Amino acid sequence: MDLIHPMDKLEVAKALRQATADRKRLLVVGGRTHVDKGEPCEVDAELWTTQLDGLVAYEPAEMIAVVEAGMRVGELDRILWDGGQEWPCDAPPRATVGGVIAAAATSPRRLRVGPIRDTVIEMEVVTGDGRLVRSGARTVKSVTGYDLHKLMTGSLGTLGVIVQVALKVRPRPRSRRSVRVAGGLEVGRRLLDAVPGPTAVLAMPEVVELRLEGWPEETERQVEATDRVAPVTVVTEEGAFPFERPWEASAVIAEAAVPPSRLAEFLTRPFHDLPGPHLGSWGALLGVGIAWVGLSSSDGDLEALRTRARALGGIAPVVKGPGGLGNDVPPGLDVHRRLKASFDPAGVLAPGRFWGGI
Amino acid sequence: MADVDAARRELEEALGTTEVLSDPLALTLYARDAAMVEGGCALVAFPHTVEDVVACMQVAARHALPVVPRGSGTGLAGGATPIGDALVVVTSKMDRILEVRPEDRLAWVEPGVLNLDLANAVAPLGFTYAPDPSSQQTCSIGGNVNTNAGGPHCLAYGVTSSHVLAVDVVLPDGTVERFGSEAPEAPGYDLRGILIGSEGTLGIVVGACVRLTPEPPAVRTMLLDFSAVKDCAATVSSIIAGGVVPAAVEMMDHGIIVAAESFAHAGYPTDAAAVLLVEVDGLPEAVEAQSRAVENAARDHGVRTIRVAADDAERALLWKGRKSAFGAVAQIAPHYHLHDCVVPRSKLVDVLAGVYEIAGRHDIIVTNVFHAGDGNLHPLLSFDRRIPGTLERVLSASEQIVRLCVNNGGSLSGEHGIGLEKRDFMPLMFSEVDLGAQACVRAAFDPEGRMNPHKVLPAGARCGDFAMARGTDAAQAAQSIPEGSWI
Amino acid sequence: MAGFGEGVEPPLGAVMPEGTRFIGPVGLAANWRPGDAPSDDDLATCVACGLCLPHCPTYRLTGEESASPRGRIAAMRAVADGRANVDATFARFMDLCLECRACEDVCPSHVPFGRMMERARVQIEPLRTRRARFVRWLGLSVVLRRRWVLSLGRRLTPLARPFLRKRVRTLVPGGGPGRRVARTTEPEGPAKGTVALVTGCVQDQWYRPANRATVRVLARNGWRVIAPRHQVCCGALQAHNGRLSTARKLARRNLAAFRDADWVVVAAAGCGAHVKEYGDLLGGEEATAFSARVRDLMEFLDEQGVERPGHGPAGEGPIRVAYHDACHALRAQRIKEQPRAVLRLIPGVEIAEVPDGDRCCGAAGLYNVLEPDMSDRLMEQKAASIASTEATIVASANPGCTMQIAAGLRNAGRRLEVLHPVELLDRAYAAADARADDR
Repeated sequence: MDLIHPMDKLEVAKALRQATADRKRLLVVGGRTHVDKGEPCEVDAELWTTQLDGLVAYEPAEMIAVVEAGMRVGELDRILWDGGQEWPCDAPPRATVGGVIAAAATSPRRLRVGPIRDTVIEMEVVTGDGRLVRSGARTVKSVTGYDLHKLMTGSLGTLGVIVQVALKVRPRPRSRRSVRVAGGLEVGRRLLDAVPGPTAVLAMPEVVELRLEGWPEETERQVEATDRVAPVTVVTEEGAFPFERPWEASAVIAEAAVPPSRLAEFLTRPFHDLPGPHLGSWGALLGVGIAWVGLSSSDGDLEALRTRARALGGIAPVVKGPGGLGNDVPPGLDVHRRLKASFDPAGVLAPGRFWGGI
Repeated sequence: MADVDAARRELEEALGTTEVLSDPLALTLYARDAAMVEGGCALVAFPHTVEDVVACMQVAARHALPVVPRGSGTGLAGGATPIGDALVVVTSKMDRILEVRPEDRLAWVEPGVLNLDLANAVAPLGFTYAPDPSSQQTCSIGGNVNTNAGGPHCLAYGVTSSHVLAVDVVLPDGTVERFGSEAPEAPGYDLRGILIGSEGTLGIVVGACVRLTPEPPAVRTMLLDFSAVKDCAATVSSIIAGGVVPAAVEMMDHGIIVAAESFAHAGYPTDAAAVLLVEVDGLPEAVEAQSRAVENAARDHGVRTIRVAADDAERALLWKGRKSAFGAVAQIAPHYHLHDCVVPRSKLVDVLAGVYEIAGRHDIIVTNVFHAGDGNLHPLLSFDRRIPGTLERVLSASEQIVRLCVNNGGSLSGEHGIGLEKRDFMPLMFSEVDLGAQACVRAAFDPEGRMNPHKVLPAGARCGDFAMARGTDAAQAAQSIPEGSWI
Repeated sequence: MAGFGEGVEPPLGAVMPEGTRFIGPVGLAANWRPGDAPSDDDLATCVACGLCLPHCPTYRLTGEESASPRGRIAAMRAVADGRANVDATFARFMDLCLECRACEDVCPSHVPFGRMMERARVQIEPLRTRRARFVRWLGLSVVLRRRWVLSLGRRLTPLARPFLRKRVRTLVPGGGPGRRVARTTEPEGPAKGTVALVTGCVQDQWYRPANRATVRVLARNGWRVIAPRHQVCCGALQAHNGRLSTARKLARRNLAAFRDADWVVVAAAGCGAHVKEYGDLLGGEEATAFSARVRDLMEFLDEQGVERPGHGPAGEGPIRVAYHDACHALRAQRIKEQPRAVLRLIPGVEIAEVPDGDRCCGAAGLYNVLEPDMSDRLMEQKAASIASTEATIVASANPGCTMQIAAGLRNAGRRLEVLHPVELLDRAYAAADARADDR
């Protein structure tokens, strides 16, 4: 497999023009942390974005950071730390900003911080035929033309190569607490109702972990409210959230998305159907509707899981291991196809990697 | 030439005769929105159901009529202004709240539901619908979706795009699709995200699944009063730079204070150069801490007085003045021209000074009432069109103001959209290639180009220029791309 | 396109596509007919922001621009700009307006909608069929202008009842009016001043008990009350229905009739709103000074203060009163708190706020006869809203509303008493006196 390792966006554009001319199929790769997401597809080369790792602009008072897409999340965290701010993606430090965005990765703190797409306000992307296109603006809001960056977020590198983004960042909360209590989905649900303004309520089979953020007086009150529902066993003041992600031990991880109120049904019922030994662990973001489910393989279990997700109005793409996205057909398939044809006319960007065979 | 008469008959057949307008005077009433450009249309239709909208699209497709969706007609950029033999599809009669589901924190609504009606309907359940444009009592959710509407409280809560989980859309070919879903992720590209803010150029929104936000346990609203505009603007940067993001930070200058006070009787200080309306919310502890931070920032910049709303009634009154400010400007002069640029917050002081200077040089009254926390300016030029030469001065001043904002790193529109009035400014922000890419998105939804033509993109922008590789030999196409065109 | 002259590069945003233009006059002559018409200055006050739309009862029901204040103004403007004519469509748009003036109240730019609509109605008058014009002339210029004719009409109603159209039949209350109020009523002690009462036409014919209660309450609170003999119909209905010249004649006669009083008090909101606008209607110092002396009854009582009754109107228990805000009090006169404040003085009275209480009941002068469909829908809404308060009494300070609400409640099978608020106060005084006599 060939490797293309451009040093800047001009080289990315050149590479894609060349690929278009040669009909050479490319897979865009960042930190390899989210590369499993997507349908299996055959490519002729990998295009690494990791050399595009510069900081373009960062003005803490504007709460906006502009970075090249290959910048590692860990590096960005360090830069923002000095400004007292964060980009709340909670991806592994070696992940790249562009990769997190292209995969539309979900932060465990999504309940409070929102989906990643809401933080991307400007983007430069090199299309399949090598054109550098910019959309959005470096202002906290903008309704100026079509939000191409929305289209690119979660597109798994099938429409273009994200080369630079402006991110809306947030002040790092003055006080942060991670709190553990015993219990599962039911305790989690009660906590979601009882604790005012939690940043995350992550339910696992035997334990619920809460993330509480804000002013010190605020988190103190949230901890008290938690304790009234179920005795708090662990409180930490710093450190990552969650403490651990037990589902990550599994060979295959599906990231299911269902309406929040259907999580319990999704997580309790299918496992009765599934053969016991294949069961991995899981973690569910209550109030959000995301559940990471560990599976030992992508065989029958995954299909059962997807069937259940679909019945509840959701999906269950795999984010680690084999298994792809699933065969759900995206709405507006014709629109999808026309978009692909416009942005990647020669079909060089990971053809077949996306939903609907795109 | 389209056969308008045949189209009318087919629409009447599908929707009923009372739901189709063709009388010239009736059509006149749909020739504009709240912006200052007037067009004209051939037909107006009032669908009641999704099927009605599908019928409208099919009839329009059969007779090659342009289609202009319209909600409450409160748009400020001419996005709903029809041109030529357009069919205006008015969604105001699709006004049911279909479902409120507190356990999923969502509601399904038809596009004609008014923003404030939705907020009021979910209030008893302890929720609100966060985006609150100043026209919220009148504007509809369908319109909000199409302009990615903002509002004072979007500073902390985000704009419409963050609060719409899914949209049901009738595409120009009459097919109905649901983009997005009740689940947090959906298969496919984020067409929901593209559709929100697309100003009616991609399809007609016939339903929306909106996110409900729990009402904050505590709220405090403060009115800070300054004797200099620059102190007021500097306070805003100071608050944000201090790591505090209030729920809302709104600024009003002297002219607006006087006009709004005369209507709302909110007790605004009419001798102030500018005021800030700041709202903080959250747990009582957080409200306390944020208020302190806001007050300190204001004192550092010489605030004259700080008035804290004592109760809900006073709070409502303080907001009433702010939210009726645009409407109140007819007290100054009969016509207004309004821009909606967003600038970096640190540039507020300079840009505002520039705006006053430009207006002064053109002998036009300018007032400012805006979302200061977002850096979202609303310089409002008041004038009387009946005085010869005034419109020309307004348009000249207007261009200079927009250039000033863009040169300071700003964006053309924060929440009103580009519509008709601002489309020719697009090249100030985007290259031809950028605009070509945007035209491709539009063409992907609407290959025939019948949805709300002439809006958003300047006359020159075409998808064809961009995707010239399509349908030709790719290698040859790549060669033919002029060197340097891709940067 | 704006005019930038030859060879001058127009600024960005100045070139609009063909088929559009910047709003403003197009240089054509106005298409108004001779006579009163909305003035250009009034029309220029609307910036089309649309904030009035949700407050307009007819827009709420129809969702159509033509049934909204903004749309009606746009139609008037089209005629003023010479782009449209005063035709049947125009008339239809104007006729559907209730003139409740909710829009004026919420308009941040103080657009004088009522004034424009009155003038637009003058414009459409010649379009009506001969028969419609005759009926209006008969009602507005003959019957209302002459008390004896109205009184005769009222007396004939029971006989005519079987022949009346159903909706008129449901609206018009039965029963006789009882004794007319005295020309002069002296207060119990020394007089604080003289109050002249506008007795009203409909009010005096069908709701005379309210007028009698008004006189008793005023006198009890120290006012000499006169009911000037030469007063005529206030002219509100004429003004609202395209007969401004008749309205002006009536106004001038009233100016003379009420010359001697310190205060002019009106117990019917529709009349009060109009009488307060004589200054606007007639112009000139005398009329303006006159308007300044006019008060709505409840407003007057609140302003001047009243004796707190020692007893509730009905026994010891609380009574729940749904207060109905007449548009012509709430909107045109901005009266909201005053009647409630007065009612709260009465022991046992509990005021229930009607949901969507600021929405017109659909009576709107003659509207309930002229636009029965729209009126009925509003009447049903209002009756349901009132019923939801679980009140036993509705207080309504406008005879048109009272008729409409009573009919609506009757149709809905609800038994609520509909009274003028002053009648409650009067009953409370009577109850207190009776109790004092018992002791």
